[in-house]
Amino acid sequence: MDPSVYWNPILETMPREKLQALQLKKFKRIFTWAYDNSPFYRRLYRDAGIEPGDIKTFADIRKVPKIEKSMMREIQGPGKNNYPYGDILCVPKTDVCSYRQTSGTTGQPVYQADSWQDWEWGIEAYSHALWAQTYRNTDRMLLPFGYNIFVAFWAAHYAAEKLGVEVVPGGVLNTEARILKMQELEANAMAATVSYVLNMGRVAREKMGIDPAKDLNIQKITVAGEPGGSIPATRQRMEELWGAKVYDQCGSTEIGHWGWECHHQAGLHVNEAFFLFEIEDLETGEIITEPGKKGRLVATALDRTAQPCIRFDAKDIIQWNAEPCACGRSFWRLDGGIIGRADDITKVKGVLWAPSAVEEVVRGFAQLSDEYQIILSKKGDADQIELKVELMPGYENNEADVRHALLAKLRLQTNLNYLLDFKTYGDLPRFEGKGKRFQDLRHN
Amino acid sequence: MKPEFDLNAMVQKIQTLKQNAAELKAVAGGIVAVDRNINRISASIRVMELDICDAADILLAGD
Ligand SMILES: [Zn+2]
Repeated sequence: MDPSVYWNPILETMPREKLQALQLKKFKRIFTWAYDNSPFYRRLYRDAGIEPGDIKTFADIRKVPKIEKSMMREIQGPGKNNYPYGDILCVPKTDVCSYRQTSGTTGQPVYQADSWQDWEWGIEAYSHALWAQTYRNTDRMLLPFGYNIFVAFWAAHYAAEKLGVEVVPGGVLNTEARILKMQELEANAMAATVSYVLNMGRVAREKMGIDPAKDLNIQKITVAGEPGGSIPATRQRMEELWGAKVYDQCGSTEIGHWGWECHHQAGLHVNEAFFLFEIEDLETGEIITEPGKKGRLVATALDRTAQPCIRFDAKDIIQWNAEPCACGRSFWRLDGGIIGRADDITKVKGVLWAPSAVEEVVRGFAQLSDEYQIILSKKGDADQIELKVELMPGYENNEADVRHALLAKLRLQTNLNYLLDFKTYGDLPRFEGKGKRFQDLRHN
Repeated sequence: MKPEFDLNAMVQKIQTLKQNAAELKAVAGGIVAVDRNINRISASIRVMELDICDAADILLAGD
């Protein structure tokens, strides 16, 4: 294997038993650090009767209490220590150089502090991703996102610079201006959410008469923020629209940038040198170590020190793939990337159901647009799934055929019936950031 | 093909860099330009400790 394919061959090709020894060593270190420096973590661990000397094995790690967003909301905000971060903070406030926050769609946002040390660490984590996805100093990358309070593609920007990629910040431009800038500068790479990659491509084609696959020079795209990067039908749409390779990447404000596809596009690798990943069974909570079984991610950032993230219930549903990747990395992969959010995976008519299964079906139909909306509701005592889709221009007379085929495919894939609503092309919302396509109204 | 590197030597050089950075800060008499640049350099050195030294501790143990 050519060593130049790795950002850091020492970590990326470490034998698995050594990698696990490294994780255990680092877990003990971050646990001790948090216990000694964060009143929040010390309280949590004392209440559970665990102190640093108690962590000797992975089984001991599983006794460490998990944290989740709701706990951050209790300790953060006005009137609390170390405003706005709360007493999770492990460094003096004078060491904090960077503020980010979550979007707060499910309540008060979580505030995230980074020291310069942690910022450098986060950039290093993202550098693994971009290098594995063939970004080099010959590339010119345009980043079409709102540079603001959300972490989004900030680390992509700094990591690309670190690799020597020429970075064009596409901040306050609108979609058309970004596309024109891309064309003017012959940018060959970009990173954006899945929804925006699709949306930009359609705007270029339909409003500007620019065919991204032919008239633009984009050859590789890194996507994040939504499951679509690992949904085959969605990836195929993006690749055909742009004539580019699409690579999935994932991370979060609290954890950091923890997963990415290598150039083989064969599932998300997880960076097991910088993070510890545990998968919990959805029903029993037992740790899943074998491949092919879905569970929820519990993640630890092993080196993030200002605002540590230790055993965070990420609410992402994932499953292991332990097969060796052709790239030669030791890091395990995830089958199907992030399959969904624990909050979105729900029982419908007694069947376990995820919106991503519907996306895979809808985007497999060339007669349908990229957009869809799903509304779960109750009709009497029965669950009802309403699916709104749009026919692509030119297919307006094919509604009956598409309806028949779509219902059959959905039934086959999800074992459920759907109430279909065909909208006029352009009626459903388009997104610049993460798409919002699913509502569960059953408990309202 | 394995890349050619000397893990022991890398660890030593990283530790030397770290020490040099601390020593430079100590003799700079609090000049802010030195102090803050050393802080930045130290963060990069720390990343190399995470990249190289932590792994070396594991890989070289028992060799
Ligand atoms: Zn790979």
